[in-house]
Amino acid sequence: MTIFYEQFLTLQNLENQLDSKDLADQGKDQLMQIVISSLHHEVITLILSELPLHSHQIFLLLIKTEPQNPKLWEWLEERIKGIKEKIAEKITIIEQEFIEELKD
Amino acid sequence: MPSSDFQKLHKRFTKKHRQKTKSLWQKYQNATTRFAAAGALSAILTLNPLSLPSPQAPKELQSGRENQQILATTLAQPKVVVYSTQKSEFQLSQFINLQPKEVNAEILNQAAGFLSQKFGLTATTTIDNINLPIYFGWIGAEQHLQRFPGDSVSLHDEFQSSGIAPHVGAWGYFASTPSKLTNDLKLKEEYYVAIQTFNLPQWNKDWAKLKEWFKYRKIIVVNPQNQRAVVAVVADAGPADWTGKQMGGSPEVMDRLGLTFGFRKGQVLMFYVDDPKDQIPLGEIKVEEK
Repeated sequence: MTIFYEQFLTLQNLENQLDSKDLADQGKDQLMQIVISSLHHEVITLILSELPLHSHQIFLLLIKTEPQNPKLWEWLEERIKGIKEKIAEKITIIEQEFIEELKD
Repeated sequence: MPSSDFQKLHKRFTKKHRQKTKSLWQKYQNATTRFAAAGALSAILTLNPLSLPSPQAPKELQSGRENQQILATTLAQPKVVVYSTQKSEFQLSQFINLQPKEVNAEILNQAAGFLSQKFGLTATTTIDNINLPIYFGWIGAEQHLQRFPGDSVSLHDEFQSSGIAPHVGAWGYFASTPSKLTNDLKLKEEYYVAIQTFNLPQWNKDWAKLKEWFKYRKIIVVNPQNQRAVVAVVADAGPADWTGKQMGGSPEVMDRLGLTFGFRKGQVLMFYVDDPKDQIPLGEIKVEEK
């Protein structure tokens, strides 16, 4: 595991759309990396916007120190109700936004 | 698709990425309190989650007793078997730029020897004169397997979003009833691989014998990109040739190999683990050079 929320990073719909574009594997990977980086920004934004200000610092330290640790969920769930659902929903929205970008 | 079309998409995606980045920094700067971890945020956002580096304690933690306490009590290291051995001249990274056709018996034997030394096990290309269908190729993400009649994905501990295969694996259920699912069998489903046994040259002639021989055969899979390795068992046949992949990995295997992002596939090495006394545990093993 490389980051705690990766269980939600399936992005199957986007992958299917990219597959239909007949891009080279390398090109698809490059585009996917941009998407994943964007998602990362959005997830961090979401968490910071929901966390109380006094918890921002410790969250940033936790994710910097142990980004893959599943216990980050426990820490977040104690502070943000429904955080898993919110992150999953956010990822779906962003995925859809990028799917829209694929349309001519 | 012509490269100009790729460039068009790349431009669109990059523009969107910039918007997301800007949005975060705007929100962050609007916060009324500036906190000492501003540097930490910057560092986190420049990280690519696809290749996050090994965790390192940031300087802020070294002086923050409260932070240290929270880290110590909140987060625990995942369980990983670590083998620590002497540094070798052989480098797994040499496989990164190799095409499968460039991989010959000599380099495979070197790699097997290297892994054996690294992990204190016996990695080998052949047992009982039976080869693997492939040693270096593409592995793709598989779903969970049904462990017993009536099994569902909600009963699996991890990666439920990966789903469960609609049919049993090539070797059927792991147990006939839930109560007969031992921890050992549970682990076998968690750490399973699918290989193309049907591509073995002797398969059509000896399939009945070979099928029994391959059932839960222990193997080691290594991702040369990040040096992560997993010991697993063969518990399914596949994937189909047309997929362009030559091996499949359970959600747990793919996770431990760091292959759960993007297209959830990657080029890996695979060898048998000769372990007649069943002493090598299934799961992630870690390369740690002295």
